[in-house]
Amino acid sequence: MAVYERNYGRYRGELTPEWSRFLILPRYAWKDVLDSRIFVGFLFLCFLLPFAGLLMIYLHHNLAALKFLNLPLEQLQQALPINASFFRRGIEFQSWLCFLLALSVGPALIAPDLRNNGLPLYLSRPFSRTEYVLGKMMVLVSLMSLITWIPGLLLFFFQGYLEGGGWLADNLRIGSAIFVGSWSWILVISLVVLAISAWVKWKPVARISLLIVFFVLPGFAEALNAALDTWWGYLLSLSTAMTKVWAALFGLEAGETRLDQLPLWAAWLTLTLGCVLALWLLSRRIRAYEVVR
Amino acid sequence: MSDLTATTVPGARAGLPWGQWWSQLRAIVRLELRKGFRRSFGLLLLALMPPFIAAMHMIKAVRDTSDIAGATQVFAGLIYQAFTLRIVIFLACVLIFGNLIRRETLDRSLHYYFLSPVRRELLVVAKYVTGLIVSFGLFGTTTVLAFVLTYLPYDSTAVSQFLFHGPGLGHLASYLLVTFLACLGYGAVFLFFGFFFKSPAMPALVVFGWEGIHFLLPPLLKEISVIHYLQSLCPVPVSEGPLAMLSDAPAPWVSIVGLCALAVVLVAVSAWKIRRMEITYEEA
Amino acid sequence: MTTDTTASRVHFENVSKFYGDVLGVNRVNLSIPPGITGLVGPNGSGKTTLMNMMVGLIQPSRGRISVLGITPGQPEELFRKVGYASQYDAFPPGLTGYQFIESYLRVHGFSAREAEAMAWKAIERVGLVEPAKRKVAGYSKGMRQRIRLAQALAHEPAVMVLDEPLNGLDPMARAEAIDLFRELADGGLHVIVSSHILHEVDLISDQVVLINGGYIVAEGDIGDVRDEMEEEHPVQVLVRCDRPSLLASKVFEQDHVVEARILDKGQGLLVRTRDADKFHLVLNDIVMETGIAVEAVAPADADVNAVYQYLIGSNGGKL
Repeated sequence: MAVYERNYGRYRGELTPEWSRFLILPRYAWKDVLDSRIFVGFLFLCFLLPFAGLLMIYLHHNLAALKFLNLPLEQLQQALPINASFFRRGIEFQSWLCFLLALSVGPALIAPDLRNNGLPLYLSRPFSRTEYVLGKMMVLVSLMSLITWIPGLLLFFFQGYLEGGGWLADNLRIGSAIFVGSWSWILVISLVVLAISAWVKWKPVARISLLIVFFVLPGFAEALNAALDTWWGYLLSLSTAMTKVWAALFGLEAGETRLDQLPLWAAWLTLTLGCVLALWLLSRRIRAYEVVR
Repeated sequence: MSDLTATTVPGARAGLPWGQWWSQLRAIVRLELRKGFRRSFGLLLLALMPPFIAAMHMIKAVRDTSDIAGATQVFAGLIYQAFTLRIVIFLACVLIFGNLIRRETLDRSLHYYFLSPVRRELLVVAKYVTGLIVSFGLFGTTTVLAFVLTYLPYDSTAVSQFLFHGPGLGHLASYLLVTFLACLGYGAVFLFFGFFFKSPAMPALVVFGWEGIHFLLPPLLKEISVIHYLQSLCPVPVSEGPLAMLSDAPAPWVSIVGLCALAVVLVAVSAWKIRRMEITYEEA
Repeated sequence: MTTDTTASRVHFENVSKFYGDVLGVNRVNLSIPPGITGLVGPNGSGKTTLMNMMVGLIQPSRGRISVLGITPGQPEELFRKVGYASQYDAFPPGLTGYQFIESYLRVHGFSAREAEAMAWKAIERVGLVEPAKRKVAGYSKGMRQRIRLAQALAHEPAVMVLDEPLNGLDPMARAEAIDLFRELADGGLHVIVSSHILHEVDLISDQVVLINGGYIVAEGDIGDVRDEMEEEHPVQVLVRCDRPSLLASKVFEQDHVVEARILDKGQGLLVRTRDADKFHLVLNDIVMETGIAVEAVAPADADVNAVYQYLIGSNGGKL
């Protein structure tokens, strides 16, 4: 009769909640990106503009400081008023920093897993494809939030606090524009960069592909518009569509005749289609197996 | 294994092994084309964009089929210089040349070349030649296609007059020369970047910005950009807007020799770099 | 060292390699003759570093290397004579097994016809004819190992450097590969094999190089290496006989015998001696004198495994 020594005992301790398991992915990715001194330096630079904005708002409300700097308040208010344009310019600049951030971090998120057959390792655990994508996306979303809507809203509330007298209530549109616009851009850029990272296995090629999406397509769109004397070309350009959305959210003009002709619904449609396409690409690629033909 | 020594050994041929180098160069180019570029849909998509714009322009052009001068301006300014040359060829060169070596390091397959009886310098040259064949093959065709499509809807007599009795064919030849020199120059720059940067996209973005603001630069700084020499070879001058800093265009021979010299120097430095390269694949 | 010797051997002359502050290998002096040489050592001991330096994939920080008189800085000459199957389990994308071999033969400079014939010959030797037209990316681990082997031997080199060539092979393929190495070595080639599978290294190697922590700890014929260790690690000899206690009492009279242990069930004796040759002579005398019936006499620790255990295992090295 065979004798089996049963001395292996399975783990019977407490498990982390299921919903939070995708956070394991960003935890390591954050560590990786923050290990790079160049990236930390870049992240630091990303806070320069919000800091300058903070200073500007402070100066607008501190007559003693203005006097010390020999700056008349009226002149400052004329040159750089704290209004929707002020916040829009700032957030649009931060959005381009988001692009650089995505360019630096994004391609390294999925491509190495695919190249080194890492996906079966993740997906053979109680870890779904959605959670995998969500975990990877979390890396970008968190870092981008840190440089867009979080400082944007902090500045907005700071201005409201110093201005008082119902400024916050009167300018609620600015706050919501910062929040909605930032999230829209973050979602679009995160999904696009993840889709590229999933389809292009090589990080450098993925980075260049991202450049193509954000530089060639707008160029193509402009050329198409010029050739046909239309605005339909903008439907191909995510960044141009976003410019239109920013303007609309802040209640301002886009600033270019042709772009002003672009209907807002078309801009939203472009962004939505960009996200849907990226999600479809991700669903095709994020699988526990790869078919080699 | 008795038949070991009976095999022909190519290295045994007498004199300077030019013949051997030539056959090795062809073999590497063939292998590179087989490996990387046959299924590069992204590149194909890029290459199809300018002809697509030209095709779209046809829709507008049918309204006035006699305005050949207008077509020349559209091709020169909009389709070729603003889009094809500055954006499409530039980024395609980053994609092609910037990854010639880097991609194989990430694939962990570069050592197969290093384990072949081929000079590493020759490997760099062969890879650069492959890049040139692919880029010029694609974008030369693109240029011709876009050129043809731009003039297609116009009155056939006027077009034939422009092409065969006017400057038309000369323009096309100039555009092809510029395309070739763009691939040669940008290709060498990004091949070089591929050796010195882990990701060529970041430095490429800087160069893209530099080339983009080239028209704002003072004359001395303009000379440190590839586009300055390429533009001087374009047959139809294009306005760069009211903010542009005016400067004398270099003589055609200066542009051609200058770009060729730049390519030779950068490929030579890349070849020097690969001599010292070790295979560790650490951060792949 | 004569020119003739240099031209027929693989030489390492005081070779060291440092990766920054980390030691790869240190002060390696080796002269490897034709035949099968087993390179044995724990993970991270420096086997791959040695092999990569041999073919110029990495450069030594110090010292000189030559393969049949050619330095790794002369790739055009070196790789006509050397074939290397590395441990990197990666291939150029998009190629079939046949294209992989044939393309690199063309890079060697062989004509299309020569390359085709040589490619098929190599593919046949590793038994991959049927899947040769399929993409390498779809191969199993064993098939990938074999196609790498085929690529290394396709140009019919004089020196084959094989980094863990038996990894991933099933027992049948493993036996075939070992036969192939033997065939190549019998043809006068240098076959330098690194492996973790000690009994196979023992089986196939004409000589071994034991490496640990970047240092060469032993080299040469395994028997000779074992003999040199007799003082520190007495040789164990297993004697199967009918009266082990009598034999034990007799062998204990010898100075060179340090231990004699009667086996379970009394079927024989395990003797540890500092002089194996002397022991064998004495054993003859004892058998003649006492009439003990000896069934078998065999060394119990004269293989690579034992040498490895004595030299490396005790030093904390792990496979």
